[in-house]
Amino acid sequence: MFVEGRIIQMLLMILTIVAIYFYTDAVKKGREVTIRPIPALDAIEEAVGRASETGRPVHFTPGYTLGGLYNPTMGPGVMAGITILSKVAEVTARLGTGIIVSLAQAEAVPLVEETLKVAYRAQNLEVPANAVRFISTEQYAYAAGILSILLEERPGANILMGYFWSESLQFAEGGSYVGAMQIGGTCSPSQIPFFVASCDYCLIGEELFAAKGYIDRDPASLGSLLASDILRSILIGIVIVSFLAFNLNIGLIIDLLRM
Amino acid sequence: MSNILKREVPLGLATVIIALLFFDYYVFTDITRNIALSIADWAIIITATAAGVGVLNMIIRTYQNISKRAEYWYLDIYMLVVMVVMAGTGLIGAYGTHPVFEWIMMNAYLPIDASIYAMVFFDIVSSYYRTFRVRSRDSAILFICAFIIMLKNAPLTGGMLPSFIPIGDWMLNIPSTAGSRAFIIVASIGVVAFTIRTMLQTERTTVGVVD
Repeated sequence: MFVEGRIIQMLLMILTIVAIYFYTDAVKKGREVTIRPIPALDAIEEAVGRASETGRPVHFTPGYTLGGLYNPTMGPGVMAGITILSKVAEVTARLGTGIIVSLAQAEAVPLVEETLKVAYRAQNLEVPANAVRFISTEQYAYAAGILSILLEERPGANILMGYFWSESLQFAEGGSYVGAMQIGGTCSPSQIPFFVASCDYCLIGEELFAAKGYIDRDPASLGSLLASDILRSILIGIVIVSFLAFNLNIGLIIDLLRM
Repeated sequence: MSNILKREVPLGLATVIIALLFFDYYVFTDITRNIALSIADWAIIITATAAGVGVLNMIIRTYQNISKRAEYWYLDIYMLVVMVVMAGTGLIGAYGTHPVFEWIMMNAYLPIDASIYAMVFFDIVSSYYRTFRVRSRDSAILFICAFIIMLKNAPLTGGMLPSFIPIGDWMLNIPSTAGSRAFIIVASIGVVAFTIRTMLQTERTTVGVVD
């Protein structure tokens, strides 16, 4: 009945679900969680402030995914980017700065519109006209569209948070060309070096998913961060045990890990 | 009522569907397998319907732009013509076999796509020029590693200084692979946690709710 080779994975998944549930509950009941400082998230206020001072808009994009938001590995990265957009929109609404959100996923348009609406309504404002722009689901049409926005609108801040492919460097260089302060962040391993090279601040990997907990102190995000730490420790343990078991040829452990 | 329809129903559906798909991945039963396959079919149907609605919406908005002579209205005409030609020729016979469709793909779409991709390399050069300034110990390590990899890969230096090839290979295969695997594991844990939060209905951004 159980699929062979996936039993250990299943146990780890169940453990993670229980841990997230348990820690979310603990945070709600007042457990203190300390997160190390993440400069890229602290810099959002500064970037939007700078754009506001120069009278230029803020540009935000959550990146490109193959097959839209449904892609199991890339979709969550884009969704995590949209959670950061809520913070960006809150600051732009407060400072009266223009905002442009460019998208490559048609299905993300209503989510982003709703996110902006909530942030602007909190300041009794309407979302600026033409703030949300769906460009294209084609990678380079999307890239060309954003480059055109960067050159025409000349944003004061260029915030790139989500999942990116090779277009990442084009956006970051385009932003640098128009003199925008840039904050990048992605969970795509191949694009991290490009953001580190081109942006003023950079979120790396899991920091993107930790952002919501860091910004809002949201109990669910903080709880899942604590659970992720446990899962990470277990995985490090499994890597060490597997290394020893395979090199010392300990059959029992090898069979157990292959379950 | 609208809140329930807009937020609670999608979240409830997400919980049931994620739980079912998790179950199907780990436990094999005919019932869950059939349900999982049906869900995959539904996803395709919903996506296709949404794409159809999107095209209709775009035609209406484009028509409005043209009739109001909005900014760049002539580009809207161009877009409409291209869309009708591509959709029309794409629908005739087997997909992508119509000569007009093929001609546009080979002589317009692919060269434009390749040109934009090629621009990445100019950006890489400009970005590296700004990055490789040795200002700290970390940037010095980065610079040395990048320099060795460059010597290994460049045809001229690779041929003249073959001793850099094994060093470069070692750097790519051992420390770089170990680092990327660690990165992939950690990022994947974030993805798993995000999915579980959606399943437990504590991640509400997926339905546009910012708590």
